Amino acid sequence: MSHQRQFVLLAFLSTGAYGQWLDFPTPGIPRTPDGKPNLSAPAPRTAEGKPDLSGVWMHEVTTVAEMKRLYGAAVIDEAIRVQVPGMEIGTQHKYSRNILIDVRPGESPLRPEAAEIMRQRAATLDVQNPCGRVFGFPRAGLLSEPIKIVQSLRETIVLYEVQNLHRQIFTDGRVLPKEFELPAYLGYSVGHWDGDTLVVETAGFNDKEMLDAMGHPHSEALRITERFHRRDFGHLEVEMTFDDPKMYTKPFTIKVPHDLLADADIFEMFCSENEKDGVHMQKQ
Amino acid sequence: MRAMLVVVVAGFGLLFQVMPARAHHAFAAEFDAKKGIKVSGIVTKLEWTNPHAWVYLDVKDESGKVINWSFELGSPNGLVRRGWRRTSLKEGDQVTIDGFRAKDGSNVANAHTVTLPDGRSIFAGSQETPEEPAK
Repeated sequence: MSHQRQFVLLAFLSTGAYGQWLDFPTPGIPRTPDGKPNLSAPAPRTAEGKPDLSGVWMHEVTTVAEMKRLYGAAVIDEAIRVQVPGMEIGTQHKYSRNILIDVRPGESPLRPEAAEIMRQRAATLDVQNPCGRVFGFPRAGLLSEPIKIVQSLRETIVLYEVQNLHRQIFTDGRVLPKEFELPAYLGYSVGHWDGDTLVVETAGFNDKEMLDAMGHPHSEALRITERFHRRDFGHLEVEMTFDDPKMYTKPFTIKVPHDLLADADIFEMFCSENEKDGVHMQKQ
Repeated sequence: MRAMLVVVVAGFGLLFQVMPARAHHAFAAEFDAKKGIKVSGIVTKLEWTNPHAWVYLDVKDESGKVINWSFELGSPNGLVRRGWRRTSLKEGDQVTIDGFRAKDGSNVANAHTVTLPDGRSIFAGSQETPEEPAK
């Protein structure tokens, strides 16, 4: 584990006893003799014998060094200069900027129509309305804030601290419909168990949002398959496959490991509370 | 096909210029990474709010005139996770803030680091500021 990542994890884990359940010793978490959460203990199971994915989870962060390698030192150095404490470079995931960053040059599945949509949106972007956007999927879960999973027998909820978003994953036998009367930013999800892996299929998206900060678009035809596997108490492997034949020539898959934030929680986050950036923002 | 590829590549180039680094919002659209500033002053207010906390400082300019500056922080949620508290900065505290000024020239900047008079950084997790590029 790099020094950078260690720091970020420590910063998340060692907040000290304080209000709002920042460090409440949560019952049900296995502990080592010194009282620390035992993150390598076996994954918990439900009464039905399935792995229980419930918990507060933070995606693996991409280090500053790795961000520089991927995006270029000049771009990342500039981003660090203008960053604010609490949302630093080195606390997000690399795919929050460009979901195709690991695709080799010349192998991009992006269709020309999709590139044209990106260009048009960039040209007409309302930079002075930073609260006017919904951080769609998967971006809301790849920024500087954790998510929370609450699993029950027939439904599992994913809560995003970013913009107080939520997703419902039904595991009660229903299947995704062929047509969606109410296309949604975060789509509609159903799940089933493949052994110890929860497989989630999501469809019914609207086409208003982007997959990443760079603006990779998706159409209403987007279907996402996620595979959640809780390897042990403290580690959740998440794999996401994006299939949108209207925008991409072939499906692509990203892997985003998550670490448990034991004894922690997510907090409310309304963008409209005190937005003051818009008036100072300019087209770049 | 070749023409199509060229179009796509050109599109990428443009996008990197227009939307280079948006995390929550485009900080680079607001602050000028070539306008580093360092000011000392007295805290007049802390807004402990989403999507960003703000700290306000009364700062004397060269002529002795007091100007109120606004400095942007992350969300209070993120700050709390990193050890900041609502009481970490109080009205009347003397602090020094490093940051980069708003592109529109207003007295607004990001608070890259916040330092107390005894030299302690109030935000233990501050990263080193990369050297400014040659002007």
